[in-house]
Amino acid sequence: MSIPDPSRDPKIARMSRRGFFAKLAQGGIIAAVGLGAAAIAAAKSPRDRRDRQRYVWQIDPNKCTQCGLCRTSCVLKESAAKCVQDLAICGYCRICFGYLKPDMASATPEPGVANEMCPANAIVRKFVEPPYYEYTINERACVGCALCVDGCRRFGNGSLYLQIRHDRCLNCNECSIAAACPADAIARRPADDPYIIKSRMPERPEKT
Amino acid sequence: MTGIMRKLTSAFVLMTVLAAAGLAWGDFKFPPPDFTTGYQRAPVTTPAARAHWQELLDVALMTAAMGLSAWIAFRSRRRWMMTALSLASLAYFGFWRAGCICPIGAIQNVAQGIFDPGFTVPISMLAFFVLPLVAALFFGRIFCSGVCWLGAAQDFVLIRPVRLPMWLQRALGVIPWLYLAVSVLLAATGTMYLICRYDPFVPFFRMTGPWTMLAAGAAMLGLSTFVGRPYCRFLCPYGAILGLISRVSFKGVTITPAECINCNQCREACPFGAIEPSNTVKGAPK
Amino acid sequence: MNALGTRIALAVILGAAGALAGVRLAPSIAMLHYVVRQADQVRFEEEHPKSATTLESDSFRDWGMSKETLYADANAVLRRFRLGTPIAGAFIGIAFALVATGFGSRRRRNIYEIDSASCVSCGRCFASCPIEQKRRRQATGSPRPTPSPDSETARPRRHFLIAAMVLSALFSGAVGGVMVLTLVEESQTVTFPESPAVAEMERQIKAHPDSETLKAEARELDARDRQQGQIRVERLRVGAWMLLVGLVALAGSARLYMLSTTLEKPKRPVSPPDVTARRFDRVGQVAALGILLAALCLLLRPAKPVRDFVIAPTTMQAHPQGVYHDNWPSFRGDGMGVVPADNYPVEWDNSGRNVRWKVAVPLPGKSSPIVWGSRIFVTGADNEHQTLFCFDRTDGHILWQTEIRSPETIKRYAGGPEAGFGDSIKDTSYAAPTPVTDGKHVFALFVGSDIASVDFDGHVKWVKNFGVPQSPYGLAASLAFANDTLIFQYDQGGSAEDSLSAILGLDPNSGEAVWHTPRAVSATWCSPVVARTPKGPVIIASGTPYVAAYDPQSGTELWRCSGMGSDLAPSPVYSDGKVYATGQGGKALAIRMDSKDDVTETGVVWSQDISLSDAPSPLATPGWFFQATSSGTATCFSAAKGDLLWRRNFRGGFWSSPTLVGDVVYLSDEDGRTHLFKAAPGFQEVRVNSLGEPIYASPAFGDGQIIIRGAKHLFCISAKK
Repeated sequence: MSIPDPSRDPKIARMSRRGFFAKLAQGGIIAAVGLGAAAIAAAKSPRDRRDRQRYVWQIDPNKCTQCGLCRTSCVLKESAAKCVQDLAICGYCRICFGYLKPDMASATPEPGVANEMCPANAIVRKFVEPPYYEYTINERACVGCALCVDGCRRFGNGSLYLQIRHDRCLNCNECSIAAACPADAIARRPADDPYIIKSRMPERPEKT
Repeated sequence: MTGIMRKLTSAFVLMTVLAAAGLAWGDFKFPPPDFTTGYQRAPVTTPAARAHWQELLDVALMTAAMGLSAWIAFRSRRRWMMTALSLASLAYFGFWRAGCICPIGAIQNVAQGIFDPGFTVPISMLAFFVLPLVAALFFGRIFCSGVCWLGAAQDFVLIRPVRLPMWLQRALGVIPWLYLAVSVLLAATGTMYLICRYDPFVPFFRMTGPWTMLAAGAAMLGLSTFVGRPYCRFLCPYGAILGLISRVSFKGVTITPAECINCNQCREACPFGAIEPSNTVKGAPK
Repeated sequence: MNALGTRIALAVILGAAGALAGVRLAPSIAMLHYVVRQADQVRFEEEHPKSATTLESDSFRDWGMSKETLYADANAVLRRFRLGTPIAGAFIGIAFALVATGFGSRRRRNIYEIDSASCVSCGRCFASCPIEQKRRRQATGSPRPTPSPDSETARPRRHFLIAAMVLSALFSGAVGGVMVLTLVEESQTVTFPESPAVAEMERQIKAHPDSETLKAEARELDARDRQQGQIRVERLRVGAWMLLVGLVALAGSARLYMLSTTLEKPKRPVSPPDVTARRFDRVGQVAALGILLAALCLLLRPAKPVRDFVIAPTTMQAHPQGVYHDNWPSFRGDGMGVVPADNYPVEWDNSGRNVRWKVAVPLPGKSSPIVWGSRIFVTGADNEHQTLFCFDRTDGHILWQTEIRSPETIKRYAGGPEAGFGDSIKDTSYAAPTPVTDGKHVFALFVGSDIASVDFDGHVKWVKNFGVPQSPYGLAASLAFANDTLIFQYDQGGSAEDSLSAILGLDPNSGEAVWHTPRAVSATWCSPVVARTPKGPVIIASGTPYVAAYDPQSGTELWRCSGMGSDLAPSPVYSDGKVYATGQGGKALAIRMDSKDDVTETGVVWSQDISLSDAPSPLATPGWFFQATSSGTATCFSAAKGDLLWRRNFRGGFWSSPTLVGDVVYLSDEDGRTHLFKAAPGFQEVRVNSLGEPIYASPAFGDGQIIIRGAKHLFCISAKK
């Protein structure tokens, strides 16, 4: 098959017009991608160093309503949201309503499986000195149900609260707990400061 | 829950008694005590999030995989290599990295980054979005074949492809544009990440998820056994953009054009309806 | 060109249709946004007070955010959807049009050619190309004959693959079955805290709290439950991997099997190009696409479109007592100085911590700032000027300033700077009365009784003068607003017998007096307040010698109670059915609101005369009553009986009035310190914050910000960035 003269073959001429448009489009795409990336980078860069950083998901304890959906909504079978204990604001109460079921506390103020609020036995109580007890979370056992958070927030200082643990979190692009949260309490946060430490927050009076 | 509420109310009565005894006033209901025994409060543990270099490693791996894919498609031209590469990236990006982040979902981050002044797109995310597009401009959709783990999952289970009528392909081919418009709208308004929420494959990569999404994913994979890459062709918004760019790419995959014998084998082999028969060369079927 | 014309026409038509659909659908799609959904639910519950609340609306109330902020946020989201949805709709329409007309896909081909848009470069085509295969064999130099499907090796290989397929299918099925059973079992297991077994256990333990066996049993039950749950989780986890392996084996063997059989197939006759398909009616295509579009629109359409969120025009009557979130329309908010907690900062200092902005106020004045929306209004005056300033709440720059002088004052000042009130004016300033706003206009009052109505853009609507008061310090009473009437307490004269004093109700539109009620009192500097009682608003005005209540509609005096001191500056307050009035030289009185006529003998719940306030207004809560003095003493009394609960002396004196925020009292002194202490029956300091500049005015609170007027500057204190 001989090569036809492009200038005389109308089909080839047509092709080259296509080729011209293709070149135009190529140039356009290169320009668009370049300009777009530059615009995104430039628009964000100078304001704040933090802006350039990456994000992870975190729970705002002040917005959290302890609805219990963190336990079930995470894509992980064992939720990435777990309870943390901020000992700096813990009252070290002997009767801790995050630890004990309220009515059981009055009936038998001693710990025992059936008296405990936590369905997973994840709260560890340790005697410190009279009359104080230390409560810590066994994170391996914690299921993130927020029952203890509710008790502590209602009756105590609110030192127990839920946080997304980033050794477990997959950092999904669309956090399924955030999608389910009825209080819109889960938002993105800079990855180099991924936790909210309640004792370091500006004080906000707890609701009673 | 009413039972619990009742218990809590009874506890509140108890608390009030305690409060009246003068225990509960202060900055806190129970002021954090000063210990005399030298007890030290442990700080809240803060396991770190995934490090930045790990994300950059993902970007590097994706870039390398795309390079390899281009090499296979244009130089080596071996089908088994492409299959092996796609399975490797299915294993790493899909199952090991649990499917996040992906260029398809990154559309939404970029959209929100553009329209929401308080939201920024991390550099790794931007790279995931831009690099396959740039690659498509040079080599066509080499991302889809060798790298995309969603595509790899569908392609792997494609056992007996059937040819869809052209008009149906064309009609369904408009859905990705619709999906793109809606998901960009929802991401730009900060409403939700539609593509991620209804990604049918990601529950498989994580091996867990709401049963509705698992069922949708199973249905999609079932469909994939006889319809070539249904998600890529009829849903994927990123595929739509890649297709548009590929139309004007510098290079495109070719068959062996110089010596074509019009055997129609390539057209039979393509499960995605991408090969059009010749209609001008003498002897071509009319 | 014809095709191009069709294409453009269709694109325009479908694009426009898409945009129109977008306009229509925007309010529905916006419901997908959390804030819109939440705001809609909050509005629904307000419109239907008996409806059940949802977790969304409950959490909104739990946050302590104001409804105005929520609605503003929701409206902002709605605006984005109003703009974005039509654009997305137009985009979809144009995409439909282009795809329907086969944009870019219909072209002549010389050879078998790949449509680069649909090709994913999987490599199947060149792998199947006989020429390519030949080329490769030649290149590698291993002329390998194509294995015949009927060859000796191919058949056992196919049998092996069939066996592998069957086995892996059986394996996957078995694993899947076990997993489904586990999931069913899990869904039927009731776990804590609803488990009936645990509830029964609890009941028994409560009945026998000393029984160790019961506790041991409970422990065992609990451990067993948890162990079973753990086993299920583990089973599912392992099962998922096994299922994956099984399915991969199944798909892999099936693929290989198909590969081995394709060779068996006789070479298909070359099929003619799909002419009918390509000729598929354009009309048919468009119809198919239209149906698709319609179906998707229906699918996307949520139950109901959302309406815009409108804040009812908030006159002060719309608020219950003491509830101000974003606005602070008059002296001490609504006169009572009580605000719900809303993330107000508790720490700030003059190094700039939590000080969002600080701007100089060009003219002095001891009047307090008021806030409406994004505007802050402050008055300032000296012996030449009387000015109303409007500051931008976001950054503190002056939006506008308006000079307010009635013709009478201009005439009076014509002879040059004129003191008018002597040296004593230094204690109160030329701008002592705090302005008031109804959300549309600001009403400012100055020392010589000039009252002006100024709109939010700084245009003076009317200005009136009521005569130079016979008062050593000039006027200091702030304005108030009740039932759309502007309340102006005009007390003057050296003694009650002078009969010069009055309280007036002014029409806010014209400044004309609607009613005028004379008062037999001497000059005072306390402000009238509007008590929002269950039966409606009532005006309370302190005076020497009596405090009185007036009907805001007619100005009729409802009751009066004698016993007040002289040279009064503290304004009365109302809380929980009781009016509290105080002032040096007399008594602090707690008076029942629902009194009639002269109640000096009958209506007083309690009275006391310890550390009576001389300048700051008191603060009352249902439990406690606080007072402070210009010598730096703060006291707390029980609201029920008037018992002194605590008294504390501070270094600096107090001129600014206390504000109750949640359960913390904010009280600023003349050295610039703001003392924060708990509203509690014992003094508990929360913090002391210093701005380093005397504070005489009372702060304004709103939306997490505290607006403090110092002697020279206006500060915005906010913990938010």
